[in-house]
Amino acid sequence: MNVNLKTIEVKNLSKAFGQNQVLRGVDFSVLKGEVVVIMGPSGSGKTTLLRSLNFLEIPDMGTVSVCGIDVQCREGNKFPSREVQKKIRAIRQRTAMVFQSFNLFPHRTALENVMEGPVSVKGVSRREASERGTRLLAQVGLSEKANEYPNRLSGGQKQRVAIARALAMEPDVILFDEPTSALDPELREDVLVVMRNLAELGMTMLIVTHEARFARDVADRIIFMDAGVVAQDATPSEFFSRDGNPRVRQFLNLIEI
Amino acid sequence: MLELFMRSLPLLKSAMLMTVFLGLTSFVLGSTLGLLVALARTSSIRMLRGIAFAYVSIYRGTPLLVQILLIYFGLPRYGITLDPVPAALLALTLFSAAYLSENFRSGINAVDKGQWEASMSLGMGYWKAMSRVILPQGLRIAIPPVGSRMIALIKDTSLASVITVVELTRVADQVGASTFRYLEMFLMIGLIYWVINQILTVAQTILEGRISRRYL
Repeated sequence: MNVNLKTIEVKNLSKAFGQNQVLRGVDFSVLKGEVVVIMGPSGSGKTTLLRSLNFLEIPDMGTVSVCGIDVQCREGNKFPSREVQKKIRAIRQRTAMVFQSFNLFPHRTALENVMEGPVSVKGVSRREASERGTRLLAQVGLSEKANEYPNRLSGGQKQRVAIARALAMEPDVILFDEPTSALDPELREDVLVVMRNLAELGMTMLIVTHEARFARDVADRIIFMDAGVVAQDATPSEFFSRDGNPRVRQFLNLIEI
Repeated sequence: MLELFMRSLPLLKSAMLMTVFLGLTSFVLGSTLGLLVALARTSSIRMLRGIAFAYVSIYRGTPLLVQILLIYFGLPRYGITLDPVPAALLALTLFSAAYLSENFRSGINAVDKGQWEASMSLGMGYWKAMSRVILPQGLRIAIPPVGSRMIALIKDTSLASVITVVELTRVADQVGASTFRYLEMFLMIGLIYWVINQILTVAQTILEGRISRRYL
């Protein structure tokens, strides 16, 4: 297998919300097995970039290529053609997303949440999905919560169920959109531990986060976004070095103690 | 009053069955049509939205009595002649669908946007996401207003009396006319309407509790 296989490649991606140009020509890529963290100040376009990768936002311009499936985006293409929609569905089935606000299905138990994708999208039998789901809940440390509804779970537990739900799709890459931002500080560590374990297992991950220590320890690369462009794409040691990019230093001074 | 009640009991019994039949049947049919209208109204296809909007505007914006009269007395001009009961059923269905579609629409819109996004990110299409994620939550939210609509519909069946459907109001009117005891008759059927609706209210409360207990 080609070790340098690009799981994600983005070229010249632009996106505006009305007058607000959020992305101004973003280029970057993620190799198979890499853990890439996206950091940057509020409003720099991190989340929009992440959401563009599985088309929860439709970019105005540029190319998104995920798992070898290319989608060309053009201005005014708010309603993609049937062919493009097919590609988008295919990309969504090979990626998984973990949201800041969890977005678990409240009418389904933890286990049913994890089973939902495989059963309804991939046509896996309920029995097989249930076995796999039980295994995944164990992997995130929530075996005993399998039959609880989300309203009975803490934020940290919800997010771990959401990660198990993502893993159940056997994705080529998981996209994390500020997975710990909605959590109390003491609950964050549980989620971060699960993510560290995934990284060690070789899962390809793209993570928007403000967790600097996590980024330093786990990331292969850190992408710094500022005003809709990639301002720096560096290893963690370069990123956190004292004589690095001044804009990055300024940002780090704000979020570090 | 008791002997009058006993005397008219056979009539009242069949009239009550007719009232319940009209109300519940048009509720079931109206809910089905109303759900389709709600889906059209929330769809991304502009033409469907327009049709649904026009439908609701017409059937909610005109009196039910006028709709009943148009269907029963008006349609024969175009060769469509309906018996009283089918005519009443059709009018009540079309009318209730307009209101129910708005109840369903508010339920669908009340489901958090993140639920759509989570469904989409799993690779679900519109119908999968709608049927497995959005509607199960949206319909639960819609239960109280839909319950109110059902109760209103039971009462609306009284208008079918004007096209000779033998339901509660018509029986009270007829018995009242022949005995001159209008007051007792209308009080009686008022009470019967109330009892029917109390039973439906209890059923709604039980249904609501059963669904919400699990996850709210």
